[in-house]
Amino acid sequence: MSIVITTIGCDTASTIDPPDESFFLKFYGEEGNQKGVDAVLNADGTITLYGSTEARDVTGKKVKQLYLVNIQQNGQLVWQRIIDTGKNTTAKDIELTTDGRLVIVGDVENTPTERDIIIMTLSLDGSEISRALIAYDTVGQPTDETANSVTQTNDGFIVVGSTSNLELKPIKGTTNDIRDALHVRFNDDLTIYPSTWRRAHGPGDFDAGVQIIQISPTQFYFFSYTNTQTGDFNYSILGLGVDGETNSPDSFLPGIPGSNEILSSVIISPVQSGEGYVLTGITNTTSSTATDLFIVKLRKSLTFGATDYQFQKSFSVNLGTLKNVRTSAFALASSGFLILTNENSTGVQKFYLTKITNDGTLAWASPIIYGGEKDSSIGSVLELPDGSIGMVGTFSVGEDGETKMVFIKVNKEGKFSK
Amino acid sequence: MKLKSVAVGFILSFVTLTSFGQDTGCLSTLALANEEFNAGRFFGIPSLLKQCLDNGFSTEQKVQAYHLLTQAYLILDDPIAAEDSYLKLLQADPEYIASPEKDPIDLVYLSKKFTATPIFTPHIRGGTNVSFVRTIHEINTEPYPVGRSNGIRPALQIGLGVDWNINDNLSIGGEGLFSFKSFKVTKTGLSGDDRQEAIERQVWVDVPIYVKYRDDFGKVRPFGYVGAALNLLLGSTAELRTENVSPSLSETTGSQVPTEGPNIKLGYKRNLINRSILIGGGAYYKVGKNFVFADIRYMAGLSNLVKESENYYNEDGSLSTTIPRYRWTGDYYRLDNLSVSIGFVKPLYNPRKIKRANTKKVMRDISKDNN
Repeated sequence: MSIVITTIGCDTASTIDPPDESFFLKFYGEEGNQKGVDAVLNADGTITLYGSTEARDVTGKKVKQLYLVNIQQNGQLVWQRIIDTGKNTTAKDIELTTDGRLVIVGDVENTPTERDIIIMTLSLDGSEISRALIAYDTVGQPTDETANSVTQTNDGFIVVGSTSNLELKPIKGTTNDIRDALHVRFNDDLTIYPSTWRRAHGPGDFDAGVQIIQISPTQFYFFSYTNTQTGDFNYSILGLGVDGETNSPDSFLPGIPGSNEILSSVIISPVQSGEGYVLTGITNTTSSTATDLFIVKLRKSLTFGATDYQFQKSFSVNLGTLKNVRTSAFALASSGFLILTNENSTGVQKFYLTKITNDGTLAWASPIIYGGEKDSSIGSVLELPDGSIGMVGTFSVGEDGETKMVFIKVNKEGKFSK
Repeated sequence: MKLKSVAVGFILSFVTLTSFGQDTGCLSTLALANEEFNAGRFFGIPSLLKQCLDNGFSTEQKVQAYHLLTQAYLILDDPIAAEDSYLKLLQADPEYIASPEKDPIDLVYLSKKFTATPIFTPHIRGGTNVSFVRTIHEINTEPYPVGRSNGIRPALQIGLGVDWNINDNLSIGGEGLFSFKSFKVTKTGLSGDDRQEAIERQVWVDVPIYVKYRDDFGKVRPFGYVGAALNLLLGSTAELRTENVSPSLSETTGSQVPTEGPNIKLGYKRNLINRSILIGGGAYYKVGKNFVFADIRYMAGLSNLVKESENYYNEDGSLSTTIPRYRWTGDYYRLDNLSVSIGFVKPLYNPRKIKRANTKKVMRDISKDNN
């Protein structure tokens, strides 16, 4: 019988490749709401997803806690771990260190308007190695700190974000000053760096740090967005020295006059894509909430002026009124960049994936949209070793809209296909 | 009024008596012909029977008369007339089979030159079926194995078919069946303890072709067959339901939260042309010259029914709504089907002389009896 079946061609697991090896969409988390924010590809081929989940604390109270999920490249769960900080905690960024550890940052919520930042190093199985808290106050009053990213340096880490503590910079701003960009440096064991390191900058009334890149032991590029000088928001790039003080003018502000540009992601552009830095975010005119992608590519060695631009452009795409401003970029192994952002042109927020070439031209005729009947929000995008695309984020599922961490793996064209 | 009743009664009596007279007359004629045959007076038998054969004999009497005529012509060494009589015997009773036990050997020999086996035997059939999912690759939105059970759901099929008879026992059959098929897949353990049900309902046209062996004698005639089928999946819908069993951590507190909605069209996600192999059997029951039958058939699907390129998408190319709403992505699967049918067969008998008679079997049978 088996010979007959084979002769006339029976479709079996041996004749059809398992699709999960090439593409899938999977939800992570058990009961309650989960959220996916970021992911890293580990040296062993597994992927560690980072986000948050609701769980019960020891007293039975519902608390939002940090959530790590390690998966194989076919989406199968290897391990998952919940990190309890004792308070509602929002995941922000995860990075893989050069020596094979994980470093994560998140916001610990003391009150809805007053947060501290937690930084933790973990082994690759999610076990905690060390942790530290960034918690400031002004005259005994706690201030609000929120993280955007963590970066490994030659001797530790720098957490970048923003703070409502306006006294971390040497000169206090105007009375309209409400928030400064934060760049707090730690030793490798998460002890705080010597006080010689400056922790904040805030030339505008509202400044938020996004990313810091160490160029040399004594030179850093600090990426943020600010409403300084022009009256609207622009990207901002500062050079910081070994002590965290600026060693560049603070007038390098990529952006469009009359529009707000909100920076969300900064990546290093590798050789094959033209060395430099790709800054992605959104732009919208000050009179409208409709948003467009805004991407700036800068050369590798910055002079903090117009000659640094390789391109600076918006794309005439209508992302709608975003409920969650976030973009993510990834430099492809071949060349070009993947760009993932939220879009809300139909009233329901969804994933928006596109690809640009090295010169900033849209490489795909149309974007790839993923989402459901209720709001979704992106975390980040990455290219997997086989050239496929991985995306982590959050989907609302079911009638009750429970949110789930989602990881989507698609082919290099963004399709659920081999 | 009275006169009218008498007239009607007279007419009815005349008709009845005339008919009775004819019946009894032809019965007598048949008896007389038998007597003439037994007395060795063969020449007058054809003329004796002619009138009743033209108009008067019942079917059974015709069979007896042509049987007698065939024997008479064989004795009179008139093979052409004997063959003609035997052919008419088969036209009167296509199921007649001469045998050495009850017939003269020369008639048995003659019978081997003829057949009444229908060339084509059409039938209609209808019944119920259940389908069994054969999962090729399980695809779901969960990152770990989930509990799974396949449920069977009865559905209906109706169809037409025809057998092309190679000989009395062997035939090649083909059918066109319009079928509804349905199955249910339940998955448990989604996000810990959530539950999902998917009932898929499909519309098919199945075109099986098979080789059938059947018994050719008796009131009840068993048969069996094997073959292959082309299966056209014309449409498919899914009724989905996902239940958040313990939503205690979500904003909706309290009891289970189901997600339901209108049926989802899945036809565009399914392959139109599919293949299967089949095996089946049953029995014919003779009713006059026709048959009723009961049949049980297992059709094993060979094709993955899922269009792999469409599995994650809505018809307009956007991400399938079933994924975020129901957390449902269809598995890759084949579909087996077990059906039970009853039907009606009308053999299109075609008594005819065959080109090459097989008389060896007669000799073997006689030798066996003598031994």
